[in-house]
Amino acid sequence: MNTGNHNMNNEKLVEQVCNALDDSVNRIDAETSQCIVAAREQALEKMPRRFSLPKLFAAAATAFSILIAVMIVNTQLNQPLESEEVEAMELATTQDTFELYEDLEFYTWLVEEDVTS
Amino acid sequence: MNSTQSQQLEEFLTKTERRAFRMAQLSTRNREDALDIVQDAMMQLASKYANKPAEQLAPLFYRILNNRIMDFHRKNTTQSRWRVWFSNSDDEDDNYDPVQHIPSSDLGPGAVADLENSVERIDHFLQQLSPRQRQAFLLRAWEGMNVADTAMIMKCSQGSVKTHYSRAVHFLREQLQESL
Repeated sequence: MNTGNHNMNNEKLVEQVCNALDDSVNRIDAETSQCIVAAREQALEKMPRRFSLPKLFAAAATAFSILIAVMIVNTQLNQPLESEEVEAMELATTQDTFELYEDLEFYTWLVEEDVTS
Repeated sequence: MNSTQSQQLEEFLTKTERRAFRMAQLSTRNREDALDIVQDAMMQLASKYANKPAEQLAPLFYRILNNRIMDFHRKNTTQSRWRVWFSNSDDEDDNYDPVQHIPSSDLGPGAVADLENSVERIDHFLQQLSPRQRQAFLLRAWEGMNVADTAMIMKCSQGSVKTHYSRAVHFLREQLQESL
């Protein structure tokens, strides 16, 4: 019985305090209310914005083009050289080839001498 | 972020903002500090948790608000400790818990009886509670939160919430009976 009364008292007390708090909310002055509204509006501006569809498509298309370009360049770099290209490269880098071109007249004369002899 | 989520967040803040301000004001006893705390809490909710379902907004918002209020108390008590230390180093007390000993409102016991307005009287008693007791009382009694949500917001066990709430009710009952 006592516990029942105690609970009843507590409920009454809580109700009384909550009513007073509700009253105090209603009594907040206009200036403070304006500040609270301004704070809310400022907070809502902080919400993360959703991406628009055209922008999303443009970004995806750009990313796709870059990916394709990178793949093409990468494939070309990794391709093995053809045998003719290798020969040409060897000729170009050999020291003898340059000597041949430098003394071309001498080698032409040597060949002609060999043929006649 | 779609328009429904944006709308639900706006509705939630519109419904809650003034009560949140009063909670902060009871804890800080200062209008400007309370406004700062509420604005911070609203901004964090909007920037990080706006996409959460509507039913999760209240516990999240009050958790942020509660953290801000406790940060405010910690900052203030650290400052006052430094002031005490510099002004009177002989009276040092190592067991002093600053959060539990935040000074009560400026009204003396005699003045309480003179307060005709019940709102002011109850404000005064609520300000005399410890921050944890006040938070437990406001969340459970005024906001109608359950024990589990209150414990999540206050970052403590459900048992602690019950203890804080019970002590708060006991204190308020005693004070209100005395003042009548």
